[in-house]
Amino acid sequence: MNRERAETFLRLLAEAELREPALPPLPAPSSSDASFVMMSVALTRAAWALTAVGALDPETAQAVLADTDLALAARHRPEPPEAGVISAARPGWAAGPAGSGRFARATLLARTGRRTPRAGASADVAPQGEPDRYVPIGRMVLFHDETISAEFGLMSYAHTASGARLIAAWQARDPLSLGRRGPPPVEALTVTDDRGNRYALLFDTKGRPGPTCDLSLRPDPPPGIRWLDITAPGEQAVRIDLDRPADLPVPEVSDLDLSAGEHLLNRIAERLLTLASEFPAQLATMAPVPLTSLTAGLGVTIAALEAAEVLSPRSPVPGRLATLCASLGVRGHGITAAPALDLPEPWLSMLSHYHRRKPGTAPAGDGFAAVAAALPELDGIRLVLLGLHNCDGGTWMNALTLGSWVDRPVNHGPLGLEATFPLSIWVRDSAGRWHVARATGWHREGGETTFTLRLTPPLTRSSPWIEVLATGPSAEIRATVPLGWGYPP
Amino acid sequence: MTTGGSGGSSPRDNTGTNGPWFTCLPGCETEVPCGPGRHTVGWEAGSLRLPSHPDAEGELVLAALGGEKARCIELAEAWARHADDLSVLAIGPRGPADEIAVGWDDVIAAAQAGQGPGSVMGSGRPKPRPMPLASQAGPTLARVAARQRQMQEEMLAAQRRRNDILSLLALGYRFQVRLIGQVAATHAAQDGGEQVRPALVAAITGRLAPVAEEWLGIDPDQVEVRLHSGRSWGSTELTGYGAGRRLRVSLPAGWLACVWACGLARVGRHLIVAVQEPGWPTARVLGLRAPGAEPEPLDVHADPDGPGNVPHWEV
Repeated sequence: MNRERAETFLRLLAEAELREPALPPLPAPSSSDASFVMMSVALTRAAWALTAVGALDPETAQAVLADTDLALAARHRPEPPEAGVISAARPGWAAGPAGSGRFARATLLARTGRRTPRAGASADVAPQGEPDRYVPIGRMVLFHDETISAEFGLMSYAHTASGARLIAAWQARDPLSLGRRGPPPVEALTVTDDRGNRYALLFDTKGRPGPTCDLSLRPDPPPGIRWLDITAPGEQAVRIDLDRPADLPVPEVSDLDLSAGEHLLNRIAERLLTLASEFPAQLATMAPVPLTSLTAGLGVTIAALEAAEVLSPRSPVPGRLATLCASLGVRGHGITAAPALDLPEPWLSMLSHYHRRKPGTAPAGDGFAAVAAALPELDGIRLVLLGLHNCDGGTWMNALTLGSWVDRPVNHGPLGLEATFPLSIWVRDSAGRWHVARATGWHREGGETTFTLRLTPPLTRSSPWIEVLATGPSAEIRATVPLGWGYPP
Repeated sequence: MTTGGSGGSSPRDNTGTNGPWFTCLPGCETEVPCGPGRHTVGWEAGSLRLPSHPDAEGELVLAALGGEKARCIELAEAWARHADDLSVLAIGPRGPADEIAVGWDDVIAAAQAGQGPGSVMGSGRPKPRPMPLASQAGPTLARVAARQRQMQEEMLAAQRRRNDILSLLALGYRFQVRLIGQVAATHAAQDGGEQVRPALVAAITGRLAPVAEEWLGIDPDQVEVRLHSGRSWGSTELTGYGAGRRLRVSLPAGWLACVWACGLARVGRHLIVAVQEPGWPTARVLGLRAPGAEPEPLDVHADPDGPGNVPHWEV
């Protein structure tokens, strides 16, 4: 990795942008929210990519972009609003073009010493004394009172340094339509363990999209408890067997030699494949998928990664990306590499799914599956899968990670590509079809990150098992995970 | 073909072998709005002058005691704060044709926008607090509050910095190039290593490329610059044809100060690569007739009463 060349590349790209003679005078903004940022997508994407692979620290990248933003604004005096047009813009516009508020949004970052980006693979997993505990459950707890009828599909139990909790899919109804809102009253449930200890439950969605939650146990139970009884008012106790083995076959770990640039480009490809599913009409007719907002500047991004020496000029990945764009009818990406034919099997599986013109195949009905699978450490993090559920036509997997990446700032990229998360995750169902798993809904707490993986396309039936393929730059893990389907939530 | 040579101003110090970097630059003046009127601000021999504020230090003391600080005084402080700020190179002009459209109205509008409600401190209206959840323990809230304070301080610092830069740009092209020269000379005298090299390479590229276009007719995107760190002036090389044509130039950071900022980048048909005997309005420089050629000493002179923003030099 060459950090100096990375920064030089970005700064020279900004210089080229300033030389661009074709920029017309800016029209006056139509609202006070109008942005004066005139930087090209290519520049911002290159900055993002270089930051994502650790070739540039975020402060330097932001400083370069801020300088460029102000430099562009300083060279383009906006035209005044037309006579008679009432603008909702900033007060400065009342003074005409010379008195504009065009710099009101321009911010220059206070220049600080450059920080050395973190090394990518310093493992710092599970420092606590007691081993973590993950147990699949697959039981339903019902709750009813005068105003609410709720169901908790308990998918798994996790006990880590952050505490013990049940991971559940839940839904609540208001049978009398009294307008009751909010989560079910879990404080009405009683919880006891095999040693006679009693616990309270705390409800927390932890930012997850969809109806999943953590039911945290307070106080923290001692290690080694064998079961929990959960009792709702007027209902029989539901026993949760915590001695149940996860039945997880030994995962298969293979070394890889992906460069940071290749890994990032693979993840961009996965995002392309995910977003393509949102355009079933185009996929069904083989029309171009309107994803140029994601692919714009890809050629410059590849050049930036090569300049930073995190992508070999001989890498096959840019060519695969070009083929993928061509297969989806996406243009304007600027990739100069010749299209490659050796696409990875998961990409081919999804393209085949799309091109069978059945992208809108009906998904499986609502339901949840017990899952508890802690995968081996991979590039400094440990991934733990803690439940899967189908809901509203989507398939979601609940997960948490332990490891050093928790300390890194979230780096949201183009169209929600989270580049800080170092893993690419795919799922193969029992019919052999691949699904890309996109992580969303991050919640960081005590050295752990909980999140949800949304599968695209969703599962179409209740697969008895799935194969999870997690890939980092240095290795990949394949794990066959049994799914213990429970009642629908 | 690559050529190199010795002579001219030292690339590694800001005084050159025969004098400071600004010896080839005449003084200049402009007027700025200050208080109820307009005051003259001048630059001479590397320093900003405030003839309307003969007791600037006394005014600073009064300002520290709660008095209002004059804009001229603020300008001088901003100049000093940014004398080594690499952002000046990234934002400032690349040449006389690169017009910066920042006036005092812009400076005032930006400052007022920074003081407006919601600009930094939020709208002032307390936002409803979300219901505490199990994961939001006390220390987390404390961390969030500390982070918000830090973000507000960073935003205020960024606004002050933006207002500084806009004020310095509003002084006009003559002052802008002199500040660029000051920043380049400061960094040429230091070995900032990889911390500053990318910014200096970009700064030289951005200013040499349009000069090279006039000199050779080459596309500015085909100009590649390396930062030269030896005692010689550097080197030039022209390679390839068509789209593969490249002008590769190696120059020290001091070139920006001693040559470019003094309006000496191109004199007649020569690319000037160094100053041997600085002076105003006459100087001896090293010029290249063509890439790869040996630089030749040239006696150049400027019209001291000439118009325009930059000195116009002739052989």
